[in-house]
Amino acid sequence: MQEISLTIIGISFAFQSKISKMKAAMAPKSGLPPKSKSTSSAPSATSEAKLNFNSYELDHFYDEMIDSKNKVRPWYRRISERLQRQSVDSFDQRRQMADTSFLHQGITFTVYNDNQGTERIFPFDLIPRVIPADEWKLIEAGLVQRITALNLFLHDLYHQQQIIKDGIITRHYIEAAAHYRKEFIGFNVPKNIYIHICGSDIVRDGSGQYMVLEDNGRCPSGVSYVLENRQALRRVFPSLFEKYGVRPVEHYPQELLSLLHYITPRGNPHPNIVLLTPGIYNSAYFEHSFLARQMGIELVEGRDLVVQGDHVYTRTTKGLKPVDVIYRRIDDDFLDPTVFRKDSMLGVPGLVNAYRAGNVSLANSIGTGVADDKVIYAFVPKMIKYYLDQEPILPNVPTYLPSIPSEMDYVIQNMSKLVVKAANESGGYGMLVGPASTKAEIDKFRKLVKANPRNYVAQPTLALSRHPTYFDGQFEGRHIDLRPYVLYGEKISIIPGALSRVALKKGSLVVNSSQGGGSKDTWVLEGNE
Amino acid sequence: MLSRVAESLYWMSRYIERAECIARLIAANHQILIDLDLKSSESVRENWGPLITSLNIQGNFRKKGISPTVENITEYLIFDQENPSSLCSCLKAGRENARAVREQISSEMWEHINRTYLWLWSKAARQFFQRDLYAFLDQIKESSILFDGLSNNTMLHEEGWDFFRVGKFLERADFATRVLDDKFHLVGKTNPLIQWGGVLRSCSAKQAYQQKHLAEVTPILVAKFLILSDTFPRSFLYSIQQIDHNLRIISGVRMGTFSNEAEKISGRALAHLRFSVIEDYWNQGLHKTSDEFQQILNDLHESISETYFCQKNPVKILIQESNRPTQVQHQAAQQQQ
Repeated sequence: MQEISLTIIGISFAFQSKISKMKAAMAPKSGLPPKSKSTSSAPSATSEAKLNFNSYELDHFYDEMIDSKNKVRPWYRRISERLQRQSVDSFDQRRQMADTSFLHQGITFTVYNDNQGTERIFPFDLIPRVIPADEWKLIEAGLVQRITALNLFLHDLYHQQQIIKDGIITRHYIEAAAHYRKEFIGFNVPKNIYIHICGSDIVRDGSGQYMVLEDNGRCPSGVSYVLENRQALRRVFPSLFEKYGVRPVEHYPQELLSLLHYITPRGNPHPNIVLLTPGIYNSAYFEHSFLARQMGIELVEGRDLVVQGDHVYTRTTKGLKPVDVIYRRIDDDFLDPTVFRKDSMLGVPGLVNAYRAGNVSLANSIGTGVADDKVIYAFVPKMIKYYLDQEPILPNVPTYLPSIPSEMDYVIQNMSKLVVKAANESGGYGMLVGPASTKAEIDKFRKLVKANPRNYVAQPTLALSRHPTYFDGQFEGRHIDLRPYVLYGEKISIIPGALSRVALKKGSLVVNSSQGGGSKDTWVLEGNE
Repeated sequence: MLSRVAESLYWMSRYIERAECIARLIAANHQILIDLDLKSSESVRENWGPLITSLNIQGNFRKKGISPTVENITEYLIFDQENPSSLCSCLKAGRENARAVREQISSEMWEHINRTYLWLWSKAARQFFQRDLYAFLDQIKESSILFDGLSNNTMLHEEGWDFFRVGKFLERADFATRVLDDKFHLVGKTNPLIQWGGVLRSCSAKQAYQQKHLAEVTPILVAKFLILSDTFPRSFLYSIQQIDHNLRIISGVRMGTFSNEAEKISGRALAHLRFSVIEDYWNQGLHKTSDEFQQILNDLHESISETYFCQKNPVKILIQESNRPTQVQHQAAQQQQ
């Protein structure tokens, strides 16, 4: 709402009160933590033991911070020095401060494996992941290339289907993709943009090579953590940032808002833009409300919207108010019960007709999920070649398609070495990590793959890069990934930052928040150290 | 403003105010027991009887096989999750509503309600409760008042604020009528000073009352104060006055006229109160008066809902209404990438 301009100023105040709350919370008195007027800005250390990397093991993985000769990479040098000046106690206190601040702000997600719906914070590791300017340039160029190709592909797919006619992708793959929307063939999306917001997952292999693991072109989440992690780290560990040249990420909501402005139907200069959320039970609800607040737009649920005469309106206390653009965080399937899933309680009856009539724009467009299908993903390098006549700047992870008989044999025989994924799942569900699985689990997946080869892909188990992560007074290497956010509006823009997710469980390769992952602040530097 | 947002602000405010009222009720009733030096179960029944009846505690306790002791009732009113009006339940509902309008309220408001909720459900709160009941209840009251102050000072005083105020004063008016009804049966019995002093205390009205009526605590004066005072912020008249005021700010209709059913009801009730003396209510009995007031509040709520919150084009519900929450929860949880 009105808070955008206040956010920056608010930091110092919030910082103070967070600390005093923390102290009170640790004191024996158990009333509500009072907001005292304490002004101390750094926790006082009592233990002399300093942090160090003496027992840090590389275990032959590519480590983001320390190279194979045990030397700290130049862009981590000052962080490493600053960390080693910290006592264990003071570091622990900073960590506590960050956790408490996340909890109090309600930056939590809900786990629904029990009926209680327990709320957890997304674990936050204080050691930032750093990306030097040169590496970022490569990532940026690779992502721009990729989203350009993906949008060209989607346009083609929903129009001439030249890529199928030219034999690059077989029709069967497309038509069997769960999120392919045949109904939209021939439909022209506003400004010819399909994927407006993309969150591609990038990993590094044993040699440090960046590769794209998957594209999330439906409703990628996590960007609020990019901003909140940065704010949290600045609050609890300001000295870490000194003279580092960390590029800011705070303008993301403005960039997103101008993108949403850009796709307004008929160029209405004062569009009513809303963010459509599935509601408070969604694990990303915090993010939806965060973005709405930061952009100053209304957060709506399906039941707040109504369609009359192919126009969408919000139900307000003063009657109906027309809506021009919907940033929707609901999957296609649930958008409109009269068109897609009939049992959807989250959508808006008639929304699709209003969209077709060109009276409302959606971001992302309907039908982009076809590009998220992990089988279609395998063809992205070919798309880049086909549409742009370029070599992919960021390669894919090698991917086997069991639907091709020769590859099926390989997959079945080598399953214990492979990662097998269902083509249309996300959130770390429906996958098998061969080396970490029992024989029974592998057998189960063999059967699944044989029964429905089109629905699976297999990839070699990557030696994902690791990053020092704090556990009980020391650092241990943990596998990480990288999710930058690409915005495609009038121009393509990528905020210099990303969500770095960490697999907190030792040896685990799965970084998803629903599977015990944590996150880090991600710094993109102005320079290379 | 979205109808749903207006409704959530209204309910958020009601639930927080309700939590405060319940904390007051518990504190006052405990105080009376101590003042009268009563411990036997009979005197508990006599003094807590109406409370037990009005909250239907008896029925619930019979179902659970629990005896209505002071401890059990207190536990039920504070921590019982199955009791929709327990402190825990109220704060949970208040926070859920706040979360649903997180982007509409200030960070200060949200963080305060969130912290209070997290605290109330924590072990620390439970220990605090066991150690010092009054301090515990004070904490709840102060937390509600702090929330009110934060809202007043950080929220835009626009439409949402008016719905917030309407919710708050509806709940307050409701509490005023319940308190009177609760103690009505004691009229003519012993120790009026203690009993009616307790009533005043539960509304934080002791000193305000004394400023008006000195130390003379008589049932009719207490009733007059709690119903007809136009300057005490917890009286029935004062609450109706506020509701009437905020409703008119929402619609922009001037005082003394109306544009919808809610404004008609509040305007009428206000005129009736202003042109009455306490004997008009006293002579017909406080119980009957309380019932009439409750009816007014119910009608007010209904008409506010209809005017501002209701879906004018109800969506065809394809699934049984009773399944809705779980179905929505389930589907909402699925949207993840």
